Amino acid sequence: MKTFKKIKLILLIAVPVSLIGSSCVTTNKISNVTGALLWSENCIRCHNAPSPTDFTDIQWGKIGMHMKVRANLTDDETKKIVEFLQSAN
Amino acid sequence: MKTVLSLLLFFALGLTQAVAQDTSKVKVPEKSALSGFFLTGNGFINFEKSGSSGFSLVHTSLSPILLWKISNNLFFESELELSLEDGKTTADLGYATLHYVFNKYLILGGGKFLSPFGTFQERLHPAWVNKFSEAPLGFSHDGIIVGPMAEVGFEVRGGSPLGNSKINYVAYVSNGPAISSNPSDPMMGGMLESGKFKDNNNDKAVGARIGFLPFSNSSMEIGVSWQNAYVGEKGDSIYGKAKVAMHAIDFSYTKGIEKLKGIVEIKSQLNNVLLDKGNNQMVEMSSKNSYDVRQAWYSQISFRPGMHENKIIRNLEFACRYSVLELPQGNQNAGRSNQISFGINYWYNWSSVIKLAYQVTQIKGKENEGLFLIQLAVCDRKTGKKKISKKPIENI
Repeated sequence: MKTFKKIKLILLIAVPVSLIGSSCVTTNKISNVTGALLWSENCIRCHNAPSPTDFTDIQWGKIGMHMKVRANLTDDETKKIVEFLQSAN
Repeated sequence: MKTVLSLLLFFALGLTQAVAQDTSKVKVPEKSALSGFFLTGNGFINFEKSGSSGFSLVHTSLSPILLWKISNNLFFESELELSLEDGKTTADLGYATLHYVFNKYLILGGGKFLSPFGTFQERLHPAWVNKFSEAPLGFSHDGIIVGPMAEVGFEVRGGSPLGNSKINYVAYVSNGPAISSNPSDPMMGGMLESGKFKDNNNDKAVGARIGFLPFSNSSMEIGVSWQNAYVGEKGDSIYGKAKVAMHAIDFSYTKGIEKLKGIVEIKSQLNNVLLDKGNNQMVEMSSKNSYDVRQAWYSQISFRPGMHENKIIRNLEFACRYSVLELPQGNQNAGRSNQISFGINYWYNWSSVIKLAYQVTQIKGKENEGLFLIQLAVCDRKTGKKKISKKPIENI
């Protein structure tokens, strides 16, 4: 029962905060989102977003594959983010 | 066993089909298709001060990471953890995994990998990612850990859009955790160790995590994880039939809020481990319960005013974390322990940070322990280029 109480506590705090914060979100279809936006939205889920100039084109290709595995990014997201980082480098 | 065989068969069939697909493709060179090695890594130095003593260097670590893109579908990654703590130097293989991108929605992997049990171990534990210099209670591989840290085995994973939402998954078969079988060591008291290269019994651990991101901007993720495993050594008189059922729920929310001129981040995870000791005679004679439950959870909130006009202020980050660890009788620090931490971080650039924190840990039957912590953490980046902190963060 203790476990369920804690789960409820976490959800009771976190879900309303998130819903309020996301209430102004425009529901872009993911397929229409640009690589630049995906870069800014997905990197910050775990860490600060790096600048495109922080790594070379070749390195971004490898980092993209690493992040696809580590963060379970979709194939489309990974391709768009890597293309953006390489084009803005 | 059927599950293990099914997954292995699935893995083998997947590889066969994918190799067949590859040979039929006409490959067009792309920028990202260039293969080869990429050596990167991260490191940190920890200082701490307790009571009237001065600051002491307590832990320093360097973790070189090798990313090897063998082809557009084949990828190898590994991390070596070199660490000096309490005067003891250790070298450990954090992970070494070969991945095969089978298709858009399926990646196959094998080797040693960070446990996808929740998100802390897999995504948030590196020093330059973690908001604090220490892991929450029950999540640190340097201390008592509730839940697995790493797996040695095979995994399948992927992510997919689901309308305006997203879903991701990981399922794996691994050697699983092993239980300490030395009853004369009260400090261990049936502690579980994960990431073992040698399976101590014939039963593989099976686990999975499913993550759901309800919003198109990926701001929120809710994950549910599970793992079942036999943990005792085959034939062991005490824990021979012992098994664990582990469950976790994780939550993440990260959003830039213009009114606050910054990014708010909330992270939380609850790990629950139910150990069934097998109800054998030895356990009954020692008057211990046949079941015990270990639990650890944390909630953390942080704020970085990254859109503020002032350069110093926008590189600051404020964080607060509360964590709880509950252990059954017979373990070191049995009972409930809790910890609260307050921190201020300053980001020199996107991957280099200095962290200052004060944390109070309360362990049942002991005096509260207050600790000042300082950490310098860095992750590899190309030098000599513009820093991300030169202008406010936009479009978040």
